[in-house]
Amino acid sequence: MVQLFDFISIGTLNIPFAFQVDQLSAIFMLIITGVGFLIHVYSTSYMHEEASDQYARYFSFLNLFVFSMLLLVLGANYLIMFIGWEGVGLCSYLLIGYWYKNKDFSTAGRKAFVMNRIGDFGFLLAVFWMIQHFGSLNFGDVLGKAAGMPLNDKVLVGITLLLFLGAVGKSAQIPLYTWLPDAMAGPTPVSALIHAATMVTAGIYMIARSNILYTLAPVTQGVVAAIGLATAIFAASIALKQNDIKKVLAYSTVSQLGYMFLGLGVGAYTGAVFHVMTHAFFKALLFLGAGSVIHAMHHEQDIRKMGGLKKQLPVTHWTFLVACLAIAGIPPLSGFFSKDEILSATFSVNKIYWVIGVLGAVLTAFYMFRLYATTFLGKFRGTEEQERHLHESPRAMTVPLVVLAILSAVAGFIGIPAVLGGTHQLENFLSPVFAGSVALQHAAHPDHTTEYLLMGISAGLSVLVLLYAITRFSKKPDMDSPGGLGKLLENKWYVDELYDMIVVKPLHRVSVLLNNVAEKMGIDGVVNGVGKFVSYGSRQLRLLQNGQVGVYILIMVAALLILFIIQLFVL
Amino acid sequence: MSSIILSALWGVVMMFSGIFLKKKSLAKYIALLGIAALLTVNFLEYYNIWYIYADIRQMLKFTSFGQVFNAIVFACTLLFFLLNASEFEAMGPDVYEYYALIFFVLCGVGIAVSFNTLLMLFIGIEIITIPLYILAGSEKRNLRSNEASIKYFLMGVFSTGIMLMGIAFLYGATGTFYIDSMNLGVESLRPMILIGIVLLMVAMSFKVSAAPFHFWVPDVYDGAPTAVTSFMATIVKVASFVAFLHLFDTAFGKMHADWQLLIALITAATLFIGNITAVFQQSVKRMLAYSSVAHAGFMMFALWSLNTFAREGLILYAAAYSLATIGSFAVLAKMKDYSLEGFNGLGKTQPLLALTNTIFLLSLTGIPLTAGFFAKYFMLMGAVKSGTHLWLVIFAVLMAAVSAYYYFRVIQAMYFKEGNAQVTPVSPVFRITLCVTAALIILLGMFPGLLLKGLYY
Amino acid sequence: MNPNDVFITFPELLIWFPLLSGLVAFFLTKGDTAKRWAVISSFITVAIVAVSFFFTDKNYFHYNNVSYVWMPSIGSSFALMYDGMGRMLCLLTALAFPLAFLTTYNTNYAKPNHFYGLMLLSQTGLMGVFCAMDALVFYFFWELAIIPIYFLASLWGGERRIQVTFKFFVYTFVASLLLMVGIIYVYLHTPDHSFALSSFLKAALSPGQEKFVFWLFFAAFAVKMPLFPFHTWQPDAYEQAAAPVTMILSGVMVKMGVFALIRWLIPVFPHATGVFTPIVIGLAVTGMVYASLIAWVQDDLKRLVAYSSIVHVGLMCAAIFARNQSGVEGVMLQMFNHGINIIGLWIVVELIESHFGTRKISRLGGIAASTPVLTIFLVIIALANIALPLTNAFVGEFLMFNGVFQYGKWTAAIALITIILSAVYTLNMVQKVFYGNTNALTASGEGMVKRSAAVALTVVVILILLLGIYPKLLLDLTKDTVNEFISRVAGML
Repeated sequence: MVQLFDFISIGTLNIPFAFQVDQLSAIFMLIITGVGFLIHVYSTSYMHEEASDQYARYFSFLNLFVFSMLLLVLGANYLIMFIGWEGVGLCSYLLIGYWYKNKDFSTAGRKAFVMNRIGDFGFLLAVFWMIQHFGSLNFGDVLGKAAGMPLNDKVLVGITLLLFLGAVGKSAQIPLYTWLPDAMAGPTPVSALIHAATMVTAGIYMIARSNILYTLAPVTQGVVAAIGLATAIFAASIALKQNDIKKVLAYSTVSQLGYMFLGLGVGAYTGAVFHVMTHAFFKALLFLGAGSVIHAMHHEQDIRKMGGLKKQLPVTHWTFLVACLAIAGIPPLSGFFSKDEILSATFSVNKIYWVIGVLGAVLTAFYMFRLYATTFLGKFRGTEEQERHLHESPRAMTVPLVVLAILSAVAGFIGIPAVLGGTHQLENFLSPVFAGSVALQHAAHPDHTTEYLLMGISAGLSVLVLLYAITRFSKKPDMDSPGGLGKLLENKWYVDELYDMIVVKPLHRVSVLLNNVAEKMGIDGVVNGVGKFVSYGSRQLRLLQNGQVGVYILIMVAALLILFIIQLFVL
Repeated sequence: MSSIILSALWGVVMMFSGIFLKKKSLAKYIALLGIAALLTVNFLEYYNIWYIYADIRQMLKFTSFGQVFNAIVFACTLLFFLLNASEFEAMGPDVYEYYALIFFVLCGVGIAVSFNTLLMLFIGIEIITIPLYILAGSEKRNLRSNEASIKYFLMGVFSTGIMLMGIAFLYGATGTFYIDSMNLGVESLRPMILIGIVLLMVAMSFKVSAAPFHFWVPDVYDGAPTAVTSFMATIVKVASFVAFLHLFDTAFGKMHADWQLLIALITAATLFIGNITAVFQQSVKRMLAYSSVAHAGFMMFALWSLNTFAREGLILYAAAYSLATIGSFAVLAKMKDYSLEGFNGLGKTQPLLALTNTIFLLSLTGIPLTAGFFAKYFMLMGAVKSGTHLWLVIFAVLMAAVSAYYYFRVIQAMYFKEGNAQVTPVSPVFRITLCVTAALIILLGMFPGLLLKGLYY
Repeated sequence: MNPNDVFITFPELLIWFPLLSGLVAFFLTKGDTAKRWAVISSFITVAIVAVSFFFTDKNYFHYNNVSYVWMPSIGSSFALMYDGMGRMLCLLTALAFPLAFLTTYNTNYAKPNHFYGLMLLSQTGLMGVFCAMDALVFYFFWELAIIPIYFLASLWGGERRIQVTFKFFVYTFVASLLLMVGIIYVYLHTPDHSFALSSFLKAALSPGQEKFVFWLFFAAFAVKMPLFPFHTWQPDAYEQAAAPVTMILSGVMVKMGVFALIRWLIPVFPHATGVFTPIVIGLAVTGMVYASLIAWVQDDLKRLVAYSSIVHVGLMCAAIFARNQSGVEGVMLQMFNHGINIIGLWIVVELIESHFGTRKISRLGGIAASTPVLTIFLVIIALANIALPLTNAFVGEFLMFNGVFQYGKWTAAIALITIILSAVYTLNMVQKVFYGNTNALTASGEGMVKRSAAVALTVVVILILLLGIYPKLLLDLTKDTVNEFISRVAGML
């Protein structure tokens, strides 16, 4: 641990500006800097259309983001983590609304920030609670002291739930996920880096870091798993009917994040981190590939207008295919290993969850290959103009694609589970971080036969669905507007509209009401009323002075008599 | 004693000068000479260097309180003369007589401040008010001046009757006029004593314009010539207050608890009527009249508390209030239009007048750095110290806030509104005197101790 | 080191210098002389405060404390003390003026000699309040601070300024008069009949008496801050006054109320504080949420900032009454930070209004395209307003919320909702005003940010970032005051 300086030091509370590097942060650092580097290279070419000062602005924001993300994973206490946490939220806002002239884009950025803030609300409350209960925010202190606490202690459950609220906001889980699809308004490399590989995984990192807290609060773990799973399925369902290439990927990201939380919820911490890593590779690849496609199609993002691109965009095509296979969980690509680890841990905890999880995996395969087939196979459905301009992207863009493809393919091999004859190097590497939790958990590992069966089922189903999707969508892509359930899915289950109706509009109406009624008429009315009352009183009182001496004397005599009465009889 | 004799004498001197000297403009110089003489004589008496001694059988008692007060009165009258010299000349043909009457009033002030018997109180008060009946009606061609004079006379006479009745009752109950040796303890005569006290209270309240005996004030102050109003609102009222306090403190102080509630009622009524009615006024002269009623309310606190703070506060209040009111009336007298609109834009046309007037108004409101602030402060200290009826203090403070409204309206007219305020020609002496007055207010606002130290010499 | 060695103490210097330079300014009628004089004078004041920071050690006691005999008969002396909290607030006061002057350097006010003279005079009153050690002196300066502001806000500003300022004045005046009665009451109960703060702290008040007088004092402070529901004068007043005046009003004068709570209210009324804490915190937190919601629907930029200020001050009030170390340290930080941040916001608003001629959000838009420079500044300042980490406001608000959390979890949760709401209305404003396309009105941003204004903005931004990363500077400065306060309130309910 390295301490830079005293950040906050008051009384007994001491929060230094300190960093720590351990295995967990090392993994994340590699992901951030590695994938980040590739995306930087990619961006130099992708953003070349921008004016030079805007170009500079893009990269300054991008680097501010990397700084914040590193701060997040390198912090030695929850406060430094929070600083990074908010920092990435800020950069996300700045980058989503990068093309600020477009009102919708900046609205999307604002939505992202506000939803993040709702999560931060939970995070901060958890932090304050930690200060009150543990007297410190340093990981060593908090996690160390927590280790001795009883299971499901009220304080722990509270803290973990609140922290999870923060994660829900940052990592786009139900109910705070709607900002992520809207965030696709930003440049595609941004979507790749922030909304696939790094920022959205901050929530996973945070829970992984606090694993002992969660292991000691199984109640929260249950909540985490449930929400993660629900998100996974829900988002996958929406992705089935999306026609914007980036939106499909966005919902896919939300769905995959759900899997990661499912992993955390069932105690498969290593699995979740593993999936973070593999997901970073293939999701970034998918986004960058999409960027390449968009670039070639001159900013067209609707897949219904694409098709047959594999001829003109060979590198993009093959790397995209690799990524699709990986995300579908087809062995021996990386996605298979990570997803399977999560699923097998789920099976040990709750078999129904496993079934739903497999269903989700199947849906994943389906919509990904729908996307693949519609975009790259079949006949080109765009305009003549677009067809003429189709060309592969420059080297700066394709080389990162290739690198990521290789990684997507082989990254899984560091996590080969024992059942398949491997030593799971990743698990060993990360074991010091999760040692406490592992010791406490008694989740039984399914025996080898069951495991083979599970793997076989999920992989097999995925392959079947994949082939089906390819054949169906390469011949006849989804062109017309669906009806019934399809319509519901296409419109994202109308969740955004629901939020608007239940939360945003009523709140706005309340504000207007407060402004007009409470403020202007109510409180201010009272204040002004006092003034008016005095004026009125004055107007009436002066009538007493009517100029007639007789009246004056009369009043004086009356007053004299009253004084007499009071003095003599009352007192 | 010397100042009483001298002021009466000088009044005669002024009258005779009027016969021998034809030029009216010389009157003010003789008057100034007289005031200077009075100040000197007072000074000499205060430091025991020289004074006239006459055996008056203890009917008058001269204390340092009285002498400090006299000094304040004479100083304020000096400023008053300097500021209103041209007004006096404009009032009517009998300029010398007007000054003479003022000197007679000063004589009455001297008596009223140092009385030791009820009869002397009566004489002093009458000597104060009778010349004022005449002075109020000085502008013979102005109907309102005549009206003011008559009204004042009628109601004044009425209150004189009440005072005499009260004195009679007290004499009957205690057998003496001397206030320092009044025996108020006889139980069987208690009702008689109480009636006497109440009657005197009413009569004095009339003189100091406390409500509900204040009805003469708006009409009389409004109708009389502005210079006379200025004098009435300040010197006369303040002197009456000193007499009021002296009477009730020395004679009836032992029975304080009995009549304290009545005073509280009168105070509350005065504060209320004075401040609230002033809010609506459109004529600044009338507004200042009501404002004087409001200030009377504050000064009544001295009677209500009857402790050291109260006495000190009254002296301070006398000085602060007189200076500020003389100043603002002086500025008012120079305006062609007495309404609020008439003041619009005075800040631009006559910046010095506007600035000094602002200081006067701020002092009347009670803003720190002006004498008026400490005056109110001391009054409140005395009031809170007496312990009971804190509601009255809160009420007074709220009414003071109301007063800010009508004072600041004038400031707003002068500086914030556009207009072309017209004034009659203003001499350099006038301007200098205004500055001196304003400076005194600020000086007292920073170091009120200067005045209070004199009390304990 | 004895009193005779010292020619003049720092607090005296800080009071006399602006007073004298203000009086001088009234006579500088020619052209820009008054303006230049005011700028130079305000810089000198900053220099004086800066120099005073080198004399903070206990050895320099007589440089920082002075007491003159004033009115011994009633036990009042002209006593000034310059401690940690006072120093910080004097620094804020000193800094606020050059910032205000620089921003509006190119605006020509009618009768500049009066304008700048009055501005400098108001600085005197403010300095006096923060250094006063005697209740009468404190009250003196408390009232005095308002008079120049009254004239400033009535003579220069929007159309409704006269009525609005008058309302502000009368409202504050009533509350101040109640404070005066309260001061007198406590004075009469001090063991040695003195107005000194030390005597006030030893005053023998029964719990019943305390409870009554507490409200007399609190009235004045609540109106000054302002605390919900005594806040209705504020949005109008901020909206109508001229920009430099608003900066001083919201940046510094507001702190008078907060400061008074710490110095003059809570230590003097321990019992009453304990009893009324729930009420006060309740009002504060309600006000925070209330003002946040109202800020959301404001169309006028100035009103939006005004309501935003109410939110921040509400948190300060709640944190003080929570009376724990974290909260009070946060308040110390935030008194300074909020002053700087809100002045920054006003600078931006002023630049927008003077260049585009309107403050209405509905009529603006797309300014980022025409003035990228201003946008950068604005975004940083806006982020400071919503307490983004690494801005100065974050540490202060973090500590304050933590303090409130230790008082009550649910109270803190309600108060914390405002971080969501503040993001909503602030970003809403940023988006509507800066992003999007330019319209006919905002098309040209040429020459909007003059050099002097840029200097002011840069100073603000530097302070935001510097104190965001290294808040220790302020925390150390005010440590003595905080520790004393905490030890004093330790025994309270």
